[in-house]
Amino acid sequence: MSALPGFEWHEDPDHTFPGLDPVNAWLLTHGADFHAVTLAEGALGDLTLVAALEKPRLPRGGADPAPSSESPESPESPESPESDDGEEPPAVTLLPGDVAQNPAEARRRIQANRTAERRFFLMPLPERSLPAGGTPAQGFGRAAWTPPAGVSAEGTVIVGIVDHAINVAHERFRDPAGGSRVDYAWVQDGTYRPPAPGSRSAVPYGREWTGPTIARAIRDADGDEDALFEALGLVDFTRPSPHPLAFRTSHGTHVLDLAAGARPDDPAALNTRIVSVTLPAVVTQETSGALLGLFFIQALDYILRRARSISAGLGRAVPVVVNFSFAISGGPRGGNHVIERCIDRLFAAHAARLAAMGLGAAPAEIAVPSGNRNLARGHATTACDAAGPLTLTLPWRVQPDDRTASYVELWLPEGATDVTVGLHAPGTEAAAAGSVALAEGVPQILRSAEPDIDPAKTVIARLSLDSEEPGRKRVFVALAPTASRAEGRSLAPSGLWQLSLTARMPATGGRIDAWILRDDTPPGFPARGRQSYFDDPAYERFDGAGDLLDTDPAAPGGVVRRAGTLNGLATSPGRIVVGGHRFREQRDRPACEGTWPAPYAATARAPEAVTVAAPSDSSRVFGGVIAAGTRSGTRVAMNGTSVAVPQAVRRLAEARATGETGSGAAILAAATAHGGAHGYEARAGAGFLPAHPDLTDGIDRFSRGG
Amino acid sequence: MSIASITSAAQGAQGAQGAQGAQGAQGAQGAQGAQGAQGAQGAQGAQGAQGAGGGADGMLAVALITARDGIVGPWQSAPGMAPLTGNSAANMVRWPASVRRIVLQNELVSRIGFAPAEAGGPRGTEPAIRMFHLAVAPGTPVPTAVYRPFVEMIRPTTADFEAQLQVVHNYADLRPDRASEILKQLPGPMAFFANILTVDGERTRHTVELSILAQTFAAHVAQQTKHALACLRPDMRSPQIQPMIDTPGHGALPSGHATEAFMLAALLGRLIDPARENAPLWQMLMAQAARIATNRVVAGVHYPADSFAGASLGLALADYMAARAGAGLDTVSGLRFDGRGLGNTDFRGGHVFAQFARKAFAAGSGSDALAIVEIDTALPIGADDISKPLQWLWNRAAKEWQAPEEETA
Repeated sequence: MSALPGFEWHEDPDHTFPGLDPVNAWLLTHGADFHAVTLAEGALGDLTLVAALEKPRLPRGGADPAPSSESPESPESPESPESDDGEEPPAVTLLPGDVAQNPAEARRRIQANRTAERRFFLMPLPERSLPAGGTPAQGFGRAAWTPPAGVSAEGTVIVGIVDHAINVAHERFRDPAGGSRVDYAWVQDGTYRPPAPGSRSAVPYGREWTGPTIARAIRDADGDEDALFEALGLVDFTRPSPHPLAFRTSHGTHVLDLAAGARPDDPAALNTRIVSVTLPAVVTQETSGALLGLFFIQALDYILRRARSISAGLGRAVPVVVNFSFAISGGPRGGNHVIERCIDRLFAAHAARLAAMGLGAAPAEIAVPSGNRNLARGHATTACDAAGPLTLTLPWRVQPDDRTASYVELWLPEGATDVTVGLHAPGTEAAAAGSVALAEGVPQILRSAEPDIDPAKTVIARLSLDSEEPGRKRVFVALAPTASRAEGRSLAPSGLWQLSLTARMPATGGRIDAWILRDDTPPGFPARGRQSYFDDPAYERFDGAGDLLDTDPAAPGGVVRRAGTLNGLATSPGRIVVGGHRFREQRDRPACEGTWPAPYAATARAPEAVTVAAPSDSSRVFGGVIAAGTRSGTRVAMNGTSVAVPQAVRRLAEARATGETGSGAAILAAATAHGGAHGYEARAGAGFLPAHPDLTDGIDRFSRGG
Repeated sequence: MSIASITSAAQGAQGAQGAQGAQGAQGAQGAQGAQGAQGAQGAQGAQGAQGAGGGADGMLAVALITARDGIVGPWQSAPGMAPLTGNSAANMVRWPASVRRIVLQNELVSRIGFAPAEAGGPRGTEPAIRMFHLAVAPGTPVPTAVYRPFVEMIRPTTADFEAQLQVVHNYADLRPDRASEILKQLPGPMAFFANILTVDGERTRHTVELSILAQTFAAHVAQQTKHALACLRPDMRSPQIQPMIDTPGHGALPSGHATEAFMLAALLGRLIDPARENAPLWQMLMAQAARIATNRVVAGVHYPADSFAGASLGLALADYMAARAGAGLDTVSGLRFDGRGLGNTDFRGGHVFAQFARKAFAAGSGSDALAIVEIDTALPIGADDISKPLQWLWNRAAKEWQAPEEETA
C-alpha cells in the first residue's frame, strides 16, 4: 500500500481573473477537465459561452410611448425598428469561447475584453440557443401587448417568475376563453429564432413565447399534451439530459401554480397576468448558484420590460410581484451580492421608466426564500472584540463519489490583513501541506504530487482572496471532485479535511464567516454532486428527546451555527424573505408544543431578517404542499421554502390588484395568524401565513379526496 | 333361481364388498393417476380444461360409476338435444373459450401471409417484409385464393439506429419516474386499458377474450416482422444503455408492446365507440398506448423507431381485425413503414394517429421530407373475407358496452 501522495502549494498568477466570480474562475481553469467529462456525458450540453456584463447602470430616459400598431393575432410578426421603445438592454456582450474544450481561448477573450467596469460570467448554453454571429440587436416593440377581452387596467397585476422547468401551457395558467394568462415567457435555453430582417430580437438568446402563440399551440394540440410540449419545445428527447419537464413533478410549474394558478374557468383570475422566465436547466444543476448571475439579471430585466409592455397596453403602470424561489448559501451579505444589487437597480430603473412613459407608478417587488440549509451544517463563524489575529478552524467532511467540486466561501471584514489559509487532506499531518499566506490577485493552487500525472492535471484545490464585493473580503476555496471519469487527473481524497483561516482583524467588527456552497443533486437530474459539511464534534444535532434540534442551543459549542444560514440572495434590507412552516401544526397546536417552522427553514442572523413564513409542509409526517404537477390535471407534493415564497406572492398580488400600495412586508404581516412569530422571529419574521383561502385544503396532504 | 342361490349371490356380493378394500387402494392409485392427468392438463396450459376438472378426479370418477350403477336401470329411448348446424358461428357459444381461441386464431392467421423483400434506391438497401391478406372465394374442388398486399415494412439504416441510440440514452433520465409502470407493463398492456374502460373479467368477458385474441395476433405479426428485419437491440449497439429490465431475445423493430398497445387502443375504441363521438375516450386510449411504447424506450430495450413501426402496424392490424370481424369496414388502408432516414426523430402518438384515424408521417420537412409512415392501397374486405366466428365474438363483445336490452317474458 502506498502512502497518500504529498501536496504542495504553488502560486497561480496566470489564472487570475479580476471581474470573474471565483466559482467561474475555477470552472474556467482547473475545473474545466471535469466539465469536459460532463460534456461527454451530455449533462452540461455545449458549454460554449463567456459573457461580459457592464456593471449595471440606469437605462436612459426615453420618449413617450406610441400606441400599438401590432395585431395580437400576429404576435411573432417582425417589429419594425421604428416601434422600438428606445430602451437599452443591460450592456451584455457575448464572448463565445469554447470553455469546455479550450479554456485558454476563453481566458484570452476575457483578458482582451476586461475593463474595471466589467464582470464576466460563464453562460452554459447549447449552441441552438445562441444567435449566430454574436449579440443580436435587442429591443421590444412599444406597447406590443393588447389586452385580451375582459382584462382591464383596474385590478390587473403581473406575477413574474424566474424558475426552472415551468410548463407555461398548464391549464392552471389558462383563461376561460382558451387563452393563456402567460403573456410572455422567455425560455433561456430554448432554440433561438432570429428576428425578421431589420427588426430586433426580444431576447438575446433562447426563445420567447407570447400569450397568443401559447394559446394557439394549445388549440392546435387539441388535447394531445405530448404534441403541445413538442410544439413549445418544452421536452425534446433528441437533446441531451436533463429533461426536467418530462418528469411528473417540476419545480417551476408547482411554484407558479401556488403563486398564480387558478381554474381555467375562473374569470376572477383573468386580471392576474403572468410573465415567466425559465432558466437553463444546467444553471439549476450547478447548485452552488455560480452560473445563476447573468441569467437571473437578464431574466428580471426581461420581466420588468414586459411588465412595461403590459402597462403600456393598459395605459397605466401595473403592479409587479416577482417570485424567485432560488437560494444560495454564501455571498457577501448586507445586500451586496451582485444579484441583489442588480435587483434594486432594475426596480429603480423600472419605476423611472414607467414615469418617463407617462404611465404613473405602481409597486414592483420580488420575494425570495429564506433557504433550506438550517440543518445542513454548512455555516460556521467566529468573532473577536479587539484588533489582532483571529482563527477559524473547520473540520470539513467531503463525501466520496462526489463528481462535482466542493466550495467554501470565507468572508472577512474589509480591514482584515495577513490572511493565511491551511488546508490539510484527510489522513495527512497538518504539516504535510502546511499553511499558505494569501495575497489578493495571487491565487494559490494545491498540487497533488503524483509523478505519473501531467502536472497541469494535478491541481486539486484553488484558493483566492478578493475584494470584488463591497464591504468585505472573500477567501474562496475550491476543492476538486473526489470521483471522476476523467483519466490521468488527480482527484481530491474524500474524508475529513481540515480547513483553517487566520487573519489579523481590525479593532472593530472582527469576524470570520464560512459558508459551504450547495453541492448536491436537485431532483430530476442525474446524480453527480454530493454535499460536503462541517463535521464539528461540538455541534449538537439532536435535542434531549432525540428530535432534530432546529435552533442553536443557548450556549452553542464549536463554530457551526444555524443562525446565519439565510439565503445569500435574501440579505438586502427590506427584501421580502419567506420562510417555511408546517401549517397543520401551526394551525392546530400551540407554539410551545408544535414545531412550527419547517426544520430545514433557515435561521437569520441580525441584521438579516425573514419577513414571514408560509406553508411549506402539511405536518411532520406529511411533507410538502400540494400543487400542480407537470401535466395539466395532475397534482403533486413539493416542500422547501421554494414553495412558501409563491404563497406570499399570491397574497401580495391579491393586495396589489386591489390598489394596496403599502409595503409588502406590512401586507404580509397583516395576513399572518396568531399575532406574531412566538419566539421564531429569526425564521418566521412577523409570523405565520395560513394557507391561502384559494388554496386551503388544496395544498393539504391530509385532506386529499375529502 | 333357488333361495339358496339368491343367498349365495348375496354372499358373493358381500365377498365383493370385502374386496372393496383393495378397490379402495386402487382408487387411491387412480387418484394419483388423475393427478397425472391434471399435469397433462397443466401442459395444455391456459386452454382451460379446468371446466372438466371434476371429470379428471379419480375419486369422483369412481363415485360417478357407482352412482350410475345405483340409478341407471334398463335402457330407455329419450328425445335428447337437437343436432347442431354444421359450419355455423352460432355454435361458438357452445365451445369453451379455450377452444374458441384456437379457432379464432386460425381464422386470423390462416388468412395472412408474409414474403421477404429488399428495399433499394437512394434511401439505402435494407431488408423488408411484406404482409398479405389471403382472399379466399368458395370453389370446387378447392377454394380459389389470392394474396392481396396489405403491409410493407422496411428496416431503418444503421445510421438511423445510431442516431436513435442517443435518444434512447437521453430517455434513461426518466427511469426513476417510470420504473413502476415499466415493470407492471412487462406482461402486456391490458391492465392499463382496463383502468380506462372498467373492463371486468365477468361482465365484459367477451371484450377480454377479444383483447387477448388481438394481442396474440399482434404478437404473431410483430414476431414475423422482427424475425425478418432482424434489428439489433439498443444494448447491442452501446455498452452504456444498460436496460433496467432484461432485453428480450428477439429483434427490436417493431416494438411488440407498441404493436399490441396501439392495436388494443384502436380496437377497443372502435368496439366501444363505433360512432367516434367520444373524443376523450380515444384520446386516453391513444395516449396510454403511446406512453406504454415510450416506457419501453425509457427502459432501454427499444428505439423510438420501434415505436413508430409498432404503433403504425398495430393501428393497421386493428383496422384489419375489425374489418374481418364484420365491423362495417369495406376496405382497410394499407401500411408502408420505411424507416430509412428517420434519423433521431422521436416518437409520439400524435405522429401516427389523430382525429380518430391513422395518419401518415414524414421525417424532416419541405423538399427534404422523407415518408416514414404511409397509409396507402386500400385492401378491399368483402363478404367472403369476413370471419363468421370472429364476427360472433365481436358482436358479443360490442353488446357488453351497450345498455342491456329488456328481457321479455
